[in-house]
Amino acid sequence: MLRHWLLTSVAAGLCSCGWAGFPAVEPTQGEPWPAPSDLQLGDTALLIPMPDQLEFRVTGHSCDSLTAAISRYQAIVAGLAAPRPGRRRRPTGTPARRVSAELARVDVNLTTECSMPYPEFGMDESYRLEVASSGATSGLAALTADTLWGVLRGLETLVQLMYANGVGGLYVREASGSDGPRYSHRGILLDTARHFYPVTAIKDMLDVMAINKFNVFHWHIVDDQSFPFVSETFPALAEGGAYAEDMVYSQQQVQDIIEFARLRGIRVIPEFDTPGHTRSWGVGLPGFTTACYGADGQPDGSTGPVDPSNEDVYTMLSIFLTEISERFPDNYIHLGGDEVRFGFDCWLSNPQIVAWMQSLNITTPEEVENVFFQRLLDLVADIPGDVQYVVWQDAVDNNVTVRPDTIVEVWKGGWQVEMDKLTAQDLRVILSSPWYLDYISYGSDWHTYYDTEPESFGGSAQQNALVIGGEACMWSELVDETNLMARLWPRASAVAERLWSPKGTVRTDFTASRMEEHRCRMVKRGYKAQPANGPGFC
Amino acid sequence: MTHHYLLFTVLATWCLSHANCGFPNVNPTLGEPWPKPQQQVWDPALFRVDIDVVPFNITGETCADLEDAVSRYTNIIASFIAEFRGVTASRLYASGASHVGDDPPLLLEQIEVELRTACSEDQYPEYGMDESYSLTVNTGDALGRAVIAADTIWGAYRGLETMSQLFYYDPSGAVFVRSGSIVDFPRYSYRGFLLDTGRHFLSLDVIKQNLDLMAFHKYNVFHWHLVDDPSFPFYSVRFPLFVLGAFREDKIYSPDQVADVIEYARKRGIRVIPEMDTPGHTRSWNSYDILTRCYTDGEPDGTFGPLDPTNSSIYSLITDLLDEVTQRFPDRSVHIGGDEVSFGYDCWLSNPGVQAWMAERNYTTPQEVEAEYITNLLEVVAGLPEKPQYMVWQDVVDQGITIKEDAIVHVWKEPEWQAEMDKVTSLGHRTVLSSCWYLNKISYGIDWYKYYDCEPESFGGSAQQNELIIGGEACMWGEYVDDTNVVARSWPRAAAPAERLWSAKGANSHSEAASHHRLRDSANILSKFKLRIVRGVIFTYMLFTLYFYFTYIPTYCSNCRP
Repeated sequence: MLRHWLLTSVAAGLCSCGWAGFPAVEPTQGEPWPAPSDLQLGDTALLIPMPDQLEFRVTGHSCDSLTAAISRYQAIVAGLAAPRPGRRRRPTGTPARRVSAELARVDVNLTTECSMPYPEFGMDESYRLEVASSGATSGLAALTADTLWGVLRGLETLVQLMYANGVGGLYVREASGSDGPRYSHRGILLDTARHFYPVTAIKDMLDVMAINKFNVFHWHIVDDQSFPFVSETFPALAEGGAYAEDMVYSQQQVQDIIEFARLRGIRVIPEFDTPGHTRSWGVGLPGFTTACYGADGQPDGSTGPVDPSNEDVYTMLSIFLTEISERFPDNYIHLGGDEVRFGFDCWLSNPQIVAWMQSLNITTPEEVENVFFQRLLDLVADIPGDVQYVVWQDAVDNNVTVRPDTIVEVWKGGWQVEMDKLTAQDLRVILSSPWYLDYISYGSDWHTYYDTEPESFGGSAQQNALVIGGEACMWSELVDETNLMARLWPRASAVAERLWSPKGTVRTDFTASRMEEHRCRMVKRGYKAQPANGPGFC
Repeated sequence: MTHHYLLFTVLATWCLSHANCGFPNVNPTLGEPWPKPQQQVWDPALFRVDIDVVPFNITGETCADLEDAVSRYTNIIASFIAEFRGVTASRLYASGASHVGDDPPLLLEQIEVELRTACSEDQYPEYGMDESYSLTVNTGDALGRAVIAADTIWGAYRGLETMSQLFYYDPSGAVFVRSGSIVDFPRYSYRGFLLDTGRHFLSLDVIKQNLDLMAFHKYNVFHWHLVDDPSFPFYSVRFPLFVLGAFREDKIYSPDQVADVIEYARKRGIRVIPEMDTPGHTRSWNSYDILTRCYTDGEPDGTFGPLDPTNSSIYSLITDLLDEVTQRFPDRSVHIGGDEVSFGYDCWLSNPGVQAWMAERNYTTPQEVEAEYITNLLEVVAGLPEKPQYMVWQDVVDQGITIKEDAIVHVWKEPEWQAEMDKVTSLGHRTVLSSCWYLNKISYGIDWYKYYDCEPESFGGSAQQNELIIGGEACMWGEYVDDTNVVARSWPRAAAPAERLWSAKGANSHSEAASHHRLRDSANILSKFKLRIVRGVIFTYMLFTLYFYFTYIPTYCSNCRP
């Protein structure tokens, strides 16, 4: 019988191509993600003969941060060359590349001094990259950047131009040109209050952010449910409000995370959201939140937003936020300000607050919110140093007067109208409404994230210039360490490309193929990025 | 700077004695097993564990399988104890049960396992096996110990699992076991979980981890959807070229690996039912020349459709393949698919050879082609030396094809699954329900409620019809899952059907189900409703601790709130 089937199979002529299967989308080879703005990729490739010994030579300025990055990328290149367990044919539709040279060396030229810089809004992340397979510089990869940040982005692109051919060889594509981001603010929000994440999980996320050229970790560190941040000035906050004694971020750990992010060119913007979303604050500092009263005129045991009638609150916030501004080197603090209305009833139920409202001649909870938030902004203005802030759109929607250099984060539905409105008021905006990645649905939902264009609200060029970027948000009601990575990646990669690559980058079948490669790239580098495109394999 | 702490001095001091609270959505229970046993009577007596490794004592029949299981659970319980003893002093927990008493608690000395009939490694779990057991902990004549008693090894496995779920710890870091007695047995004999290794390859480690989690939830059937359109990872000894349809040479299950999975499952009381789905879903089978060539504009267009019905050799191939499969998989059942053939109808009709063949037979519709294939396939299966029982997807019955009376019909379509259950059972066929448990279809939120609330007998059939429902199956189709996310996506969502299929009918009623939406927004959860949600949550954390050895457990505290 066996012979019989061998005969028909040969007759069918179907198996000469080797291992096949039918993945939904074939991956590309050596296509970087997010797509560079101005980098020409050739159709020749260079063999990397001994990947674990590839030389990186620093030809310009250097500093510890740079040498640390080079060590990291050396290890990554060595990992890419690890023998693959199985062979496969070249993906359908991928042209065979002529291999015309060997890569001898990578030259890294940082043109200005770097000591121990901290990434900041508007930093220069551009770089030039030449990987030559002919001419005088054949066999050389030359990376040039004016800043450490540009070097970091360029190194990531360089390793993404590398691909294994399936029989143990590692190649790098010929490339020439430059690259730089479309938007300066490219963030991921992680909520560590609804569920706690150990530091290792946060570092893994930062590593994958760097793979995707994200540059802001918006750390939504506390919320109603828990207060894991250990404050020097108010240790009672975490002692009372954390889920558990060992579910906190110590001062050392916070510093460690900030440094880990810095080395990858990622800013850490902490969020301390008030006056709503503060239930956990009130455990350690019970006078901080409003006691809600029942219909019988007695406290009902529940708590509402920050108690705006308690003067201690403002003193406390002033001291606390001063500590935050000292401990987080970023120029910005996120002050929250969202969804205060959930607490309006509580405010109005409390006789002390009602009396306080009367003394101020105000009658609505919206006015209470404004009074509080105005005082908050005033006290932040008095913090030593130039502390700038980001707020959720609610504050501006409720007509709080914000500093002209405030950044407003748009998160609600109807975001196009909101973006139009805010930029018309000359405020800078970050978009996150379409990128709430905690909302899951069946299928290849990255398409939707990819296709969202922040400037589609039809504003003027001047308005568009005020769109400084966007954020993918991973709220943690239903996410923790067990599923964060798979739920975030590669879905957030779609957002990454929208925020980095030039305006007008559209999704095609080729994008899906690049996504297929990119998802497997993350898997091969050790991160559990989930399937993006339907059946297939890495 | 710490002097600023004094700002709120008075109230802050109050709080210090109530540290580390947080506000989780749902407080977990302590030591409530999942799925819920048929009968459980808790004794309020505290029963403490002072030893690091709780010894087991096999008092009845024994065999290597039982000893392996006992050793497994010895380790599971020891890990639990080691995880929590001493590290939890700061953690406050709200107890689902009340443990109040003046007397110092008794200490757990040992767990006895009494198996009443002989067991051996030749035993293979089968449909209708006896999985009942009883468990007595620190009550009656079992003071100071726990006794698991079962007539079969399958019951012993289930009892060991329940036993391991009765452990919990209190704020002082002390470990306790619930006292009480349990009499337990499954509502349905078929409690399945489908993994699809055709759309993404799953490593052996992940398949085994999933089998561990299945045993954790008393699932007893692993429905292995081995191959499908995208790939053919099953290495057939008889037809080795089939694996050319695998994604890659390392994306293949060798005969040894398949045997390894079967043995791993057997030792947990889990049957492995392989599926070889034809005549559709066979694109990856084209290593052998058995697929229909599709034509466009009178020319073959290079694409392929279902098995080619005009090629009579397909029947000898499928005979040999199923012969091999039924020999290598010891289960009496084999799943032969038969779903979604209609996707290939156009291809059949486009092919001149198929057209001529149809004309010879006076066929005018592709449904007739399908019916002839399936009818022949059923004859093939009937003639196999292993005499397997077969399972088919509902499509076969929907096409009006006559199947053997003891065939099992697998209902999977939505939304009219109740009408389908009614129809299939009216025809006298046994049935397995999957329609409401397609766990691959994700949505935002706490979606396990809807899986929990699906009641297989809700179609309003007669008692006789209900008896034909042999169980249900959670399906994790592989389009969007692989090693990276299959475990997190399957669990604890699959715990919901596990309880529906094991626990007594109506143990948790529809009126409770209707309350779910209120529950989400309500601060004052009725305790009766709370229990079942709560058990879901503790279960999640048990997963973390017992399977992933996580170093934390989210802490819950309600007694610290104002």
